[in-house]
Amino acid sequence: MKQCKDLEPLVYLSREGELTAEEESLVREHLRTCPHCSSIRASLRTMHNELDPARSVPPSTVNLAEITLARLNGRVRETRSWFDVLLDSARPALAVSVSALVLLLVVQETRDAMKTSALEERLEDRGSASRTWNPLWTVSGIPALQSLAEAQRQDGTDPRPIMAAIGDDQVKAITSILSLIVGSSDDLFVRLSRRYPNLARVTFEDGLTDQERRILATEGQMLLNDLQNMIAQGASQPW
Amino acid sequence: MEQPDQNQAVVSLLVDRSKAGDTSAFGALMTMHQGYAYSIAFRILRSEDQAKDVVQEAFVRIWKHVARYHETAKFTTWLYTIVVRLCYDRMKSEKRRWNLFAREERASQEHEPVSRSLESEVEGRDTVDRILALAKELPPKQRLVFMLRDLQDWTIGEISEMTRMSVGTVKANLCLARKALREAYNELEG
Repeated sequence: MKQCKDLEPLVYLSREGELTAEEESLVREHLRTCPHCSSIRASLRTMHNELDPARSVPPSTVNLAEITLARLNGRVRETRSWFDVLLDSARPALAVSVSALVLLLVVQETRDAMKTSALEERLEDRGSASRTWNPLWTVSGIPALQSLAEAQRQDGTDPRPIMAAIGDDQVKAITSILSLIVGSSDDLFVRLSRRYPNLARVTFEDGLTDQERRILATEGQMLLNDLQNMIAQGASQPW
Repeated sequence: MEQPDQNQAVVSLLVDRSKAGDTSAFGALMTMHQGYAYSIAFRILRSEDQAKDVVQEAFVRIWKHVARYHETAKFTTWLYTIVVRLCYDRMKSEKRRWNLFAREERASQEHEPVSRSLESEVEGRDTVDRILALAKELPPKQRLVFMLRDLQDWTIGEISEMTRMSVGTVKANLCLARKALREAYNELEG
């Protein structure tokens, strides 16, 4: 006779049609002599019965077909808040802003890195090289950038260090990924916008104000961190 | 699982007219299916607002892609698959967001174990609410399969078709979900 641990998974598949006839017969035989598995079966039955009230569904108080039709016809979105409507209209702008943000951060970092490097060289002789911390530098933590640069290095096509390796192709790849992300999921867009309300207001048309630079350095960086976490957690189909 | 008795010929006609851009026909198609689509979403998500959002989103997706629909698959199967998929995406997002905030909370509440906070959260609720609260803590795949099977009575084969998981994966997730729920429930009751 098979032991409990072999049969236990089958004991949990307790409802009709979940086991083959052969499995059913094995489990039935086992339950006759195993109080442990019998108690599992009994408590599953109790739990299933306890769930009876949850099987009823309160009727929807609105006509979803009518609301969706209004959406499709371009009329007012009755079930959505003014904030959601506002965000939807700002969506293309945010998509562009996110892409521009990445470009800006990358360009900024490259420029800062070059400046710092020059400064260090100048100061090296005096033995007092110093760096003022700039939050925008932390963008170098973006795994996407690192892996792209790493892939290039491994291919042997570009042996330069990571930052020096950030060229047009990589920037284009990242901006297109971000555009895809922002453009492909309403849910994600709304979540991101709610989490980064200030970022949605940053514009790149007339240069950046000090306030906007602070937003980029804080919320912008948080957004990039969140995106990399979501990509890491979401496996093959994160959105 | 019993599905609403739909007249296949009428559905086909409405789908054809929708493909031609007739929004009135699509409106009728949505009216025919909205109740059932909503009940599926509600039973999975346990939230009226989220269920309504999902159904609307599913309809919008169908409208966008109706031209690609071929009648080799039943329209209802297509619709329910989209609804289930959207529910699953929501659950994953919730879990992901929860993880994100949990990290922040853990930093400030390191001395309070997660199980303790869950225990206090479900304390004092009705049994059914307790089980549903525990189910919410399951990994999204397990939660989805559990909700579809034990709250909606879809067969293993139907769940496999709707979720695009293999039958073995459905069974494995169902088994894990029931085991985790039973153990957590016994612990809270005990």
